[in-house]
Amino acid sequence: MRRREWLPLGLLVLAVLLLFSNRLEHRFSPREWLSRLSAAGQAASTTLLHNLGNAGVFFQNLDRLREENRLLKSKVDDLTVQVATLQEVARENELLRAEMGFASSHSVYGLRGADVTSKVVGSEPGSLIRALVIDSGRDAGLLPDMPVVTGRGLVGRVIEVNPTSAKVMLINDPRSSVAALVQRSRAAGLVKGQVDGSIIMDEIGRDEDVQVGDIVLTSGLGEVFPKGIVIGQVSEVLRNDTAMYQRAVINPSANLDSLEVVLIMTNPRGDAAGAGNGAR
Amino acid sequence: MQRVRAMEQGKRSGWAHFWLGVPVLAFLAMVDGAGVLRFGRARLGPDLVLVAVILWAFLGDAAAGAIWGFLGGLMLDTMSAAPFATHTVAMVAVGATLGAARLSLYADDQAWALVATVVSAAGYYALVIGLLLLQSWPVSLGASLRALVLPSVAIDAVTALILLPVFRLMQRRLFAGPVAVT
Repeated sequence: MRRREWLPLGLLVLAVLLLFSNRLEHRFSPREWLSRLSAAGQAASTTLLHNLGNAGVFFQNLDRLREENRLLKSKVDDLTVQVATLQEVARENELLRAEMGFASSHSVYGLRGADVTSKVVGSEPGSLIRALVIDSGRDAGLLPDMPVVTGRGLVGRVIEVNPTSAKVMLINDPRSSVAALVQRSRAAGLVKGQVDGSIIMDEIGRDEDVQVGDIVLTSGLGEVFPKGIVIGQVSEVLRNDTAMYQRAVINPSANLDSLEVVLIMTNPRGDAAGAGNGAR
Repeated sequence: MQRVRAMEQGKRSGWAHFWLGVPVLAFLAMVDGAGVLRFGRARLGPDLVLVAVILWAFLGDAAAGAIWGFLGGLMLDTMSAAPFATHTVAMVAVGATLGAARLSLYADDQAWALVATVVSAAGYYALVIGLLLLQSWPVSLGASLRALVLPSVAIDAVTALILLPVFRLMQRRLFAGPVAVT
């Protein structure tokens, strides 16, 4: 048999061996080597493609942008006054926080060690899995299972760490499950990602009080997510008279489809031992 | 006879496919990974790397399909959160099988290209889901089929029809006939 006839079989065997290399993660990790090569290229190409897309939108909307520009200029005058006032408030706030010993870089999550800011450089190349690639990794102190947030709410958790990049599983991935509670009624449940990209709060007791518009927060049960991070808002309640539990459709507060920058909570429990994890 | 002669002229070593595949598939993988062509809550969109592998295997032979499948799969695996080599195994299998079917004789027939894409893309998704299940990833078969696999296969089929003339031109200019690997 000639060499070319063996080639497909040889490549298939090689691919299967690579698949088995997942079990030897700490001794031989081809994905880690390849991710070093691809991370820089992926970041550059993602930026370029997004900029190209933005340029297209710019030319399509030129007239609308002119009008918008005129309105914005008048807004700038109003806001300048407001900014001056708010700067005074911020200065006062800063002084108070310093006095109270707060970690102040992020007003909402600072206390929980959200101290690594990362750019999103890529997304999952397919629809079966919902994940992101970010430009911080082991070198920045990231570890698997660290919570990922934005200023608006929960995004997901770190699932794979390479030296200069990491992968983040989004909360709408079908494998994601987050212990949660309804802020108003304290009804507990599990927020799970669905195949179609939606998010459902499941396993809410049938007699619990859940209404459209309720805010859903992490409950802090389980090891990964600390208590009190906003997940989203209830947009629909699914009740069935015969079921033991009721379910609620959640509209995530973080825009999971267009994330550009995220925060990684390197010390979500706020303990002294974990504080050393964050390297920057 | 003319077709056979063209095939003889068109023979190139596996390295020719490799060196052509690296830039083409890297570009498509970067577009796939940037997510700019994915829309809606389910992030549906064309699987450009998969379509390229399918078309190259359709226009070529088993070795051509396997080489592009290996390269394309490896590039996707680098960016994906799925267990490493899941995409590689599935794409090599699909590329090699489609190439072995020797459909390059129908390179000018869009209907054959459409059928090949639908069958191969469905096979690819079946393999990926199967491999994920084997590695204990929870995948809901029914929901995935309805919400993701069927729409994705349909989008890939349309994408293949759009890209087919480009790949056919590339294959004829560079390989002077149906692709074959020596």
